[in-house]
Amino acid sequence: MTTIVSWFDPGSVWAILIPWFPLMLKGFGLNIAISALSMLIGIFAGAVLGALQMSKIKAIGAPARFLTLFLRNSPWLVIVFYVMFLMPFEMRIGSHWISFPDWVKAVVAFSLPVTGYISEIVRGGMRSVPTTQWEAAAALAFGPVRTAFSVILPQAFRQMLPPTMNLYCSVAMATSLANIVGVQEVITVTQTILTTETKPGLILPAYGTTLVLFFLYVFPISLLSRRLEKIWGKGIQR
Amino acid sequence: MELIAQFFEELYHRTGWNFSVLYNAWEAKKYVNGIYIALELALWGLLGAMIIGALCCFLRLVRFAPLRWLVTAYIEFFRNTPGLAQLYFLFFGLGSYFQLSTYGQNGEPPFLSPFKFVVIGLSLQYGAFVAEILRAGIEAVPKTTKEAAEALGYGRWAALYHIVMPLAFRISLPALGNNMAQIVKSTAMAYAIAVPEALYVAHEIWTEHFNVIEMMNVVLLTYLGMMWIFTLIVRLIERWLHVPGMGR
Repeated sequence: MTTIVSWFDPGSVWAILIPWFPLMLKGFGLNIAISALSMLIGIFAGAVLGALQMSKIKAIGAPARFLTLFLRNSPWLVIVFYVMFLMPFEMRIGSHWISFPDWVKAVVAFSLPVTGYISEIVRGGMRSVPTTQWEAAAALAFGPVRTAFSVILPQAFRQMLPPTMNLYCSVAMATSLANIVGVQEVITVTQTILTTETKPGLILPAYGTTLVLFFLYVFPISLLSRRLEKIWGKGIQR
Repeated sequence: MELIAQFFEELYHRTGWNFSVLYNAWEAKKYVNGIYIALELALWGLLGAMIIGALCCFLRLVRFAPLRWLVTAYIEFFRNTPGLAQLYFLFFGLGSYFQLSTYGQNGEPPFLSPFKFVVIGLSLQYGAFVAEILRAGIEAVPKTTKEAAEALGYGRWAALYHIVMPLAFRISLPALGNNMAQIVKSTAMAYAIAVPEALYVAHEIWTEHFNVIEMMNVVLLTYLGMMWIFTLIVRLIERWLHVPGMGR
């Protein structure tokens, strides 16, 4: 017990840990970047996949539904492994070599399940719009693209935003999985700090700090999403 | 079985596709054991999550406000932080501080194995989700039903036990099923603290044979299979507990 830095004397533990905070925040910045980029890619790919799911043509709808199910049902960690190990670290386009650092691979990995979930959210949102709206659009001789963009999507948006925000919370939290494959995100940084300091008393407050960082970032988003759900939920008649 | 093994061994010699778990008996045994551990983790985690969730849900109904705040704080904290960070905090942080995960000075085994840490981590994380789901279920019970119970002379707790809870549980079943599926997926996290579940075993195998692509696909299919089984079970339970006249 004598070797353990006293946890009950917070001065000593935090005095060591606080100088490392800027580095941890930098690591957390990478978490945010990865989650934001993969969300962005996932939203575009997911919107396309969701629209394909709604297709009346069986040869398009069925594979799209299968792909959605597949993406949603695979564990995130397995997908991360999959992309990390199977994606090349550089690629030749024309005469240029484009390299993929591991955080780019992480973005690709996380955007895959996001695509699946967004696809399902889009489908649910489209379903929530009354059939009469589709019929009205058809009566006005709108094509499928115009029906989607000027009639259905503006109405479905309110249905889709809260779950999308919840999904973003999940993605932001899932970025910590990139730690396992060695991306320099906040937990990896924390582990490096712990190895550098080699003080067992630091372990608890250091991991506690990462937990608090995630909480401070994710909790406001999840609160906002709940608020929006409540406000918009009232206006929808079924 | 023999035929499958022969086929995949032949496949390896002909094409170089090395699905070693499917013909090497020793590795197959190891991998099956990995799947077994993953399922075990999921089941224990599920049980723990249900108990913690029900307990939290119950404590939230108590009139003593500070207790309610405490439970709400727990739920919000565990719902809004990553499971992996929680696991590290439990295993490396609390585990080493209270000397639960470390070997004793004379080499005594640790008080809690990594397996148990994952179960505790999953239970705490998903317990918070279950608590929210159950609460939503209770809120979804029609007010008229509660009033009817009151009119029949049921007390607060009796109404809860006989009328509200059975309905609330059935209303929350689909969400609970989703949650269960999430637990199955999250067992892969146990890899991080060296619990020999499916992903970990696969990792051991591919470091030996360099058959990363084949093993990755095997792992993916394994998890999809597990998810499929769990979804079927949930559907069966839903059908079994269906209340006539509620929902579809």
